[in-house]
Parts: sequence; C-alpha cells; structure tokens
Amino acid sequence: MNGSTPGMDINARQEQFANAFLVTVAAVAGFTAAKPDVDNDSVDWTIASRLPRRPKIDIQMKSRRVEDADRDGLIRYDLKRKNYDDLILTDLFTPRLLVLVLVPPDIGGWLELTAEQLVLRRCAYWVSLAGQPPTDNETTVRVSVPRSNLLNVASLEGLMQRANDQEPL
Amino acid sequence: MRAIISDLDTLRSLKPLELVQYLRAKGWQQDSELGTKATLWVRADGGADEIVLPKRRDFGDFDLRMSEVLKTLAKTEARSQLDILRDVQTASADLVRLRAPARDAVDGSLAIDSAVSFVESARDLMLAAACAAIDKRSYFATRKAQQATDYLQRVRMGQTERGSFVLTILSPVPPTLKSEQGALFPVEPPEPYERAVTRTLAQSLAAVSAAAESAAAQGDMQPFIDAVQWGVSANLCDAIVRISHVSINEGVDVAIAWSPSRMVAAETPHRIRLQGDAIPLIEEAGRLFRETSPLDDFELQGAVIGLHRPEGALIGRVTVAGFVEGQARKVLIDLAEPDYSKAIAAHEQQAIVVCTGELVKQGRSYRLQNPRQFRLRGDSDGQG
Repeated sequence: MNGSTPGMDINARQEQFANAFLVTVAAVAGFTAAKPDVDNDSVDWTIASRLPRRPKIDIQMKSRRVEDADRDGLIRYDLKRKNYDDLILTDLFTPRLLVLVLVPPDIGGWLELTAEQLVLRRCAYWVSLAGQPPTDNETTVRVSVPRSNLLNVASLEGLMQRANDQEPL
Repeated sequence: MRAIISDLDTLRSLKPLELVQYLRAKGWQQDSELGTKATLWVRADGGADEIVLPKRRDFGDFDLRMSEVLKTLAKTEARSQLDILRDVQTASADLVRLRAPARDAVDGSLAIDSAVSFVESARDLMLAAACAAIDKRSYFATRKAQQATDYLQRVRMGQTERGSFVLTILSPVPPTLKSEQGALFPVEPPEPYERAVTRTLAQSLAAVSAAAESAAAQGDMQPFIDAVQWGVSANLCDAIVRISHVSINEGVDVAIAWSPSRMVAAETPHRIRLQGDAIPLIEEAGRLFRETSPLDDFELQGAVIGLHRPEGALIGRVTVAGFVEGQARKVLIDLAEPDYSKAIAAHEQQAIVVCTGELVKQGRSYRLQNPRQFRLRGDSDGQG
C-alpha cells in the first residue's frame, strides 16, 4: 500500500476523502452540507436545501476500499449495530440515508489532479434503511446497497425533492 | 470560541412552545407552515436567516433539529448557545434572582447549612407573595390558600449563578394569546395568577424597603402596617430576615426578569436592594405582625382556670390556660349559653376544653374570637 507517507492513517484519510466526495456532490446540487454539533455518531452530515418545505437529509457516511472487479448487483457492508438501529428509525423529522463511498485499494488511485481536471475515484451509493426490521445481532449487521443507487447530483436532487414532499426516500 | 450545546438530553428538553415565545420576543415571525410537521420562522426585520421549528418533540431526531435552531440563534444574536438556551428555557417564566452578597461566597460556593436555609427561605418568600396575591394580610397562618400551595408546586429552582451566590427561582407564566377582535377592542388581558404573584413579590419587597426607611426615621411601625396593602406580611418579613442570615449585615438583593411572553407595567420594580441596616427593623415588623394578627381557625386546648359572668349578663368570660405557638398562655373566651355552662362543668371536673376561633393578641393577653365547637375533650371526638 502506498499510504506509508507520514500523517494520518489510511482509514482517517479515507473518511476525509469520503467527506470531500459528499460535499462536492452537494455543492453542485446547490445544497449546503453541515456537520452536526451534537454527540451523535449516527449522523455525520446534514444536507439542507431551500426547496419550499426546507427539507434536509441526514447522512451516515461509510467508505470501503474495493477492487474494480467487484461489479455484481449489490454491495454488502457490515454496519455497526448502533448505526443500524439509528438508520432504521421511521419517526424522524428528517429522513436518513447511509452513503457508502467506494475507493480503490491503493491510495495512489483515489485522486487524479491535472490543470484540466480533478478526478475522485470511485463513486458513492446511497440506501435508506428506514423501516428495516430490528436486529438481534450484537456487534454488526450486514446491509446491502444496490449498485443502481449511484449518488450523483441528479439522484441527490431527486432524494431532496422526495424529502420535500415528505415521501419515503 | 463560544460554548456549543452538544448534550442530547439538554437538547431534547427544549419545548417547541417555549421556542415560539422566545422567537416572538426576539423579533422573529412565523412565515409559513411546512407541511404538517413544522413551521418556518423568518426575521421580522427582513434578515436572511431562517429557522425550521418542529411542532412536536417526539421525533427521533428532535435533538439534532434543536441543535440547528440554537446554532442559527447563536449566529444571529452573536452570543453563546449556552446563554440562548437559558433564555429560551426561562422565556415562559418570570425569573427571580436572589443574591446573598456573602463575603465568604467569593469563590461561588456557600456553607451547606447556609445554602439549605437559603433555599428554604426562598421558598417561603415565594409562598408569602403567593398568599398576598390572593389576599392582603399582615400574617398568613399555617394553613395557606389552596391556590397558593398549588402554585408553589409549579415554581422551580434553576441553576445557581455566580456573583457571590445567586439562587434562581422560575415562576411559570402563561403567554398572552392574541384574540381576533384585539385590534377593534383593545382591552388589557386579565393578569394570570402566576404573574400576580411575581408582581406582588416585587411590590411588597419595594414596600418593605420603603417602610424600613420611614420606620427608622419616624421611630414607629406604622409604615409597615401601611405597607400591608402592598403585600407585606409577617411571612415576607421572616423570609427576608432568614435570607439575610446567609450574609449577616450585607442585606439582600432581589432582581426579577419578567417573561417576555407577557408585558408588565413599566413602573413595576424589578430590582430591590434591602440594606443590611434595614434587616433588624424588618425582623421587628415581622414579630409585631405575627403577634397582632388573628390566627384563623386556631384550636385552643386547655384547662378552665377562670369564670366570670356579671349578674344578669348573657355572656360570660372564661379564662383558659393553654398553649399558643408552643408557649403556655392564658386565653380569654367570651361564651354564651350553653357553652358557658359547659365551661363551668369542665372547671368542676378539671377537664380539658377544646375550642376553635380566631386567636388575637390584645396587649399582653390573648383572646379567642368567634368561638366555635366549644366542648370538653372526649365529649364529641370519641376519646376518653
């Protein structure tokens, strides 16, 4: 692995990178992204819009290093029990999403920056776990994120519109 | 760096209706309903800031949303979330600050026995004002009006504050509700009892302060007697004196911050300072009030030691040796028949008599006025 340069460990870098990814997409969609002030480890970001009902979406961020070859229909992720419990809630004022950012295994492949363009690899997927059944698992719960739920500007705008209309995401 | 509230329980304890009162008082106005779950608030002065206020507290993310509200308020008001939180929580209450300028409280602490007595006296002070808000009397005996004791159940003690040692008492105030016809017939809405209590507290403390000054100048207690109409009572005087014991010779400071949800007349005092040299006078006034005020529904028990009825008179005077506030006293009762005969029988049998009435001190003796239920002990209560 290329991450032997001095500084943060690879997981901390990955988390920062995932944050940058989300903030970038939100910025282009015209939404603000803010980190909550409260002691709550199940909401990492709140994306807010100026749509008529001032909807917001609370986001739990996760990221994973994956081989490019991994291209079947679902991505599986082992979510901490506490995160799962907080993501299946339905009596929320603001809907919640799990956003999973996938990055190449080698840190050298995450970013490509030239005078012409900035490329962030690879992409992010979203899933709503609202209303999923409670679990008896003690530490983690395996969740499936569909490959069709690509998080891009268009899908984030669509999700925000649904939040505005108070429809399930 | 200003303090940020990140504690979930604190955030969950906020109430949407309290916030509405706070927002109104701070120049926000409701812009629109956001679906069924929230309202949108904007600055009345046209500022760009917005607040989305959930209508209910039972949302799982109510804490997160309250954190956002506090963040916006801290930004628009340029002060800490901690200060805003305190003001939001007290927006629906009158806040009474009792300050003991104790010399030994410079580090913000107080001897524990002084603190206990301070809190108890603060409670008695509020109860005295609650009684005086119903009825102006020089002394409220043990049994207090139901409305006053009910009120005391709703009064809360807030966090103490520094600045010597400051007790905070929160007295809830229901907000003014605007009626549709308000503009056509502008009538003052009736004052709720809770506000009457805090207003009476302010007025009575100011009256005590003025009475102490006049009494010192004139050398008599008449100014205190005149101040009863403003809510001064033995109970109020006693509470002040005990609060002053926290800091002997330093007096007592009281400040009242009126809830912004309801207007108060501009001339109502909001800060009263009772000087240390006024305290002995207030103590004496309390003692005098207690001695000369009738004790309602006083039940006297004792032995008949004197009987006197002039020839041909219908009323006879009976002297009973009993106890008044723990002291052995002789009490005079004027009795007609058949009670006077019962008194004679009690005297012969050396039996204890029981009688209820208003106990009044007259000079050096006590009288039980409007005697009721005069009986020999064991006669009607089934005991032997």
